[in-house]
Amino acid sequence: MIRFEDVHKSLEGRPVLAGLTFEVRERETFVIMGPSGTGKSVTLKHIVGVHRPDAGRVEVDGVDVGAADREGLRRLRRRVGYLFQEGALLGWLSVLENVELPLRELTDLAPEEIRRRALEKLALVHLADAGDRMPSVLSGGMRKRVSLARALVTEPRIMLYDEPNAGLDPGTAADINRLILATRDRLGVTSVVVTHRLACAFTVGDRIALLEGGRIVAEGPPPEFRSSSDARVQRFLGTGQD
Amino acid sequence: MSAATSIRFFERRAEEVREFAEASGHALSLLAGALARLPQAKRRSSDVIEQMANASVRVLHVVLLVGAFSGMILTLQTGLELSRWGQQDLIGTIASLATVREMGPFITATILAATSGSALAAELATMAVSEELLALEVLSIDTTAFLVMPRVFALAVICPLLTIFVDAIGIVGGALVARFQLDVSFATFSDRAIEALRQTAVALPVPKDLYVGLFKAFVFGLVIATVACAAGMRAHGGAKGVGDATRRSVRNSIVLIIVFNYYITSLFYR
Repeated sequence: MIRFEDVHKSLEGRPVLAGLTFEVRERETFVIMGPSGTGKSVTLKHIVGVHRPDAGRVEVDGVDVGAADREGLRRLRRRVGYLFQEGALLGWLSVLENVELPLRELTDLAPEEIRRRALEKLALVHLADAGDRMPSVLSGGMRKRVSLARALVTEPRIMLYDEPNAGLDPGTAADINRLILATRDRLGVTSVVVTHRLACAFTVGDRIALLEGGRIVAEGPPPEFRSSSDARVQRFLGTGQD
Repeated sequence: MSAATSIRFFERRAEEVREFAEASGHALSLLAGALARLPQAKRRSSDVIEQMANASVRVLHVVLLVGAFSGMILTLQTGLELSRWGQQDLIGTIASLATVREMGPFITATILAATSGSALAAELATMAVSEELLALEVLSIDTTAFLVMPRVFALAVICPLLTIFVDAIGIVGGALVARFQLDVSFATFSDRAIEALRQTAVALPVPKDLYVGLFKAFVFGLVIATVACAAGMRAHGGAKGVGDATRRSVRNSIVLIIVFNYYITSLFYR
């Protein structure tokens, strides 16, 4: 579904990805862990073509992202949902309008149908009664849930989560983790989760990878990953946040 | 200066030139993109109207106040000189022409650049640094149609409309000063003003000075909105990036307003 082959990327003269190679299978939840500044978010941005590789190949749902033209990227992005670290909701639109936005801008659906679908996705993230509120009055966890509803409203085949637990208390973080699992189970999406929270990684991940120095240095299912004899994994597990 | 220092100096200048070229290209492509999407204005009429309201209602009192006092200052300064030669009756001609040709569009545009333009740049810059623009891009939403076109359209319409108000109140302010400070009657002032504006009517059924002034305001509106959108959307680096984008927007808008003012004047009056 998603394949990175020896991807290299430098930003502002600094190498960020250096031979990144991994594959995510359909309906799998693949977690990328690693210390700050190791290129986790840059990896996600390659999947939606915000960044293109300097060398190597990124293939997503059969599309060579590095070679895709504007229209090709547009079609690809409509199959991908993206949960941003801070939610990235538009401040002048209400919660419901934020969730409706992709359908209003990208489809010819009737307003009533757009509203029905948006409310359905808000219900999925347990915010059915928050439609009239403005993003500025929401808590961090609620903003992420609204952002997840917005990402899901176009019914993507792939979901990307950028630090879904960042800035949240443990209880709210656990709620978000449950939503990631529910999204996978109900909608059958393929997911890539970038996080430095161990609890998140071990709760939602089918496979976990450790990114260091711009490449994957270890990967495997959660139990194997936890018991890995690799010193870098054990060092990270020792310093990672729960 | 050592060779290494010289090289660094020229490298920095080259980098500045490259950034300037990139920013200019980005602004021009935004303007072209916004104009190409004008047919969508009807579908986005609520956004356009909201932007028009933001750019007009919130600054109307400021442009009217500044317009009135500018007309009064112009009339007083010029009128006092004319009075020394006994020519104060000409003040209606000079005040009306100067207001309609130059002061109206220039004052309106400068105030819009400093108020609506800076607010617009700050709004988009905040969206840029908080990943909202990136979110729109990833959602495949056309940011030029969604964000830029309504703002460019709104300011291109509002700037000439506000200019009409500034022209009118500037001339009225001038007439009051002429009456009470220079002893020139309202009738004399208005006769001279109407005569001056009517004399210059050429191709269109409206005075040339008026339509050239409004054309200037239209161009200034395009410039302010485009520069503000470009500065805001290229912002990066948190709160400092928002501040930098806002400052860049106001500075570049005012410089371009003055440059375009010269060339439009030259085009129509030489």
